[in-house]
Amino acid sequence: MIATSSEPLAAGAEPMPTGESLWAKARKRFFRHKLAVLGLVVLTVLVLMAVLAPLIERYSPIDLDLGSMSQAPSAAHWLGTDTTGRDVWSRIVHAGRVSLSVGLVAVSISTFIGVLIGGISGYAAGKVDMALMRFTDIVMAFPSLVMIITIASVLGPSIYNTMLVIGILTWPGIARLVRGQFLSFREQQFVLAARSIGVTPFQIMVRHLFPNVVGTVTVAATFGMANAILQEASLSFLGLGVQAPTPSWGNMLQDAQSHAILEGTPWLWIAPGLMIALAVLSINFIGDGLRDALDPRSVH
Amino acid sequence: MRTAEHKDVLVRVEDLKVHFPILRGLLKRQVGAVRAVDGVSFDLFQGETLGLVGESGCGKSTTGLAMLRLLDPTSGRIVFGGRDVASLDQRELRASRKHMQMVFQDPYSSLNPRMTVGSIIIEPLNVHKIGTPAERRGRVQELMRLVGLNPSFINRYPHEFSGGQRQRIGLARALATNPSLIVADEPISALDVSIQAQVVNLMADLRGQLGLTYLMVSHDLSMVRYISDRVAVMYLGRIVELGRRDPVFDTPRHPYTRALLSAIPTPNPKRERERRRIVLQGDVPNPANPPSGCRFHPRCPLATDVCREADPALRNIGGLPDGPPHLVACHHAENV
Ligand SMILES: Nc1ncnc2c1ncn2[C@@H]1O[C@H](COP(=O)(O)OP(=O)(O)OP(=O)(O)O)[C@@H](O)[C@H]1O
Ligand code: SF4
Ligand SMILES: [Mg+2]
Repeated sequence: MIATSSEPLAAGAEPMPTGESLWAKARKRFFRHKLAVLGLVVLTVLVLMAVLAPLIERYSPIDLDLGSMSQAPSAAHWLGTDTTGRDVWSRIVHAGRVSLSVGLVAVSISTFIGVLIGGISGYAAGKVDMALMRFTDIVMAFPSLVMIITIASVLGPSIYNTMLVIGILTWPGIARLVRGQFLSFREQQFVLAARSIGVTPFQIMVRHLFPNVVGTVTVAATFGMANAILQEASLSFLGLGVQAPTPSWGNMLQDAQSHAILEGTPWLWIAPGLMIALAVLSINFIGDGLRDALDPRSVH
Repeated sequence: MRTAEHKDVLVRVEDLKVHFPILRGLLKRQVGAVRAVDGVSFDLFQGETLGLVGESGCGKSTTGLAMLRLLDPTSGRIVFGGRDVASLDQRELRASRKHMQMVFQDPYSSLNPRMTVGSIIIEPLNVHKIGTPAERRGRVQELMRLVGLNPSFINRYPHEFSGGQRQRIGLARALATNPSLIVADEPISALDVSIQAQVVNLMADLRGQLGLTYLMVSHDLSMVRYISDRVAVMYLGRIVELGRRDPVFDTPRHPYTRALLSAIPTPNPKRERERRRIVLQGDVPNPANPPSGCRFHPRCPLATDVCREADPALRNIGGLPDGPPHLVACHHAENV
């Protein structure tokens, strides 16, 4: 904080504000975080691979080629082929699109629901808060596997349902976080000031409270995305997620489940496993960096 | 006295009560109420500054918040511009907010850290749709100059400013819609002593310049003496003395006011030598269960039987016939 010991009345002689916006400071702090920068680089590469998939796929990721089954990595097939002769590199690249977008969409769904429910709960407080938080507890306490199997069997397993299921299962964490923040911010005098100006409750939520939780929500959503990618992998691994022939990192692992493959053709599980690990780790590193950069305690 | 004639009443507060329910147990049963404000009446005259003083917890802030209906009164009327603020519906209330504003105690938590100075000050203009967007921007600059801020800082964030400057930003926001009433709740108590005087002087200047009316809530008696035209003294949810500044400070008529004032040093050396600090015995009683009769009787050196039984009403003692009255709620005010 700027020294307050002598404060001249003249407008021109005030202590000079630094002129650096909160975001500029946050950016600086983020780039000081080495692992976060590394994570950002790795994730950028993964995203580029996914975006450019059609250009860098060397074979169809879906069509079978029974003439070249279970081949070890070679110049023709960088990462070998699977038991039906499909090129693993092409499938990995294509699966990146699927897995990353499942993660992104799922975390968007859970963030949207979480911010909405947590925001209303924290701003309204009282009975509304009680009811919404009990509901959140129920969703949280519900055995997720049972829910997943139920939803997957009712809606049928597909890419979109995978996004939906993950989104629906993971919002309570964000809701609780946002609620806690709203509860503490609504006690701040700037909320009283907004009321005294005549700002409507809805505008207070949107214009005053929400911008104060964007940082926290961004951090939570980043970790949520890593988690969603893992969830997609486990759902697909159980056969409840993305369905063949569309490749995802998770269902590629599932295809590689047999003993023979684990021992005989390890490239079939090493490649997707490594991709999942890389994606999850890099996103988590970014999350750590964002947490340091956006920590509200470092604002002053 | 600092203003000419106290003729026009801007706000009339009638028998204002604010009780906070005390809830107990799993079922949140109401087992009582904190009677934070318990029957307060006073007039605020156009252009005056009324100081509201009293010990911590006596209900000063609650009175100020209820006057602006930032807290819902339990009962009573707040007549402002011919209408009872206490009975306005939410839309009417929001519309009326442009006429009455608040200055807050904490210059840190009263400004949204994610909004620039400009967007903080322009918000009331946007909410009440005053002027065109270009006019609003011009008005923001004008307001910044008015409170002594350099308009070139318009895009800066609150964390870049000192406490005093932040209080100026809050003042500019409060003045944006040209209100007639400002309730200031301890506006300088969170500031460095060296800058308190600047903010008080600024507020006094603005009052003259803009014809504002202030309710100045504070326990800083010297500040209240400096800026107020009249002073109200609160004890346990009630006003016990209310009158023009000098009579209240120089010849207080309520034993509680005397005790309160005896704690401040006077600049006059002769008086200062004579000054004896009246130390009150006992603690402030619980506002959930105020004493019978006169609420001050358990601590009052002059208390008699009648004080324990009958609740003294505010009555005019020694006010000038043509001036505002000097009101005191004490059975023995003549002997104080
Ligand atoms: N929201 C609330 N719920 C319950 N009790 C409250 C609430 N707000 C205030 N009170 C109680 O009402 C009484 C008056 O509080 P108030 O804040 O008006 O006092 P004050 O005169 O402004 O004191 P201070 O000088 O400490 O600011 C106190 O006993 C306080 O504990
Ligand atoms: S009424 Fe009695 S107890 Fe109350 S202030 Fe006067 S003398 Fe004291
Ligand atoms: Mg107070």
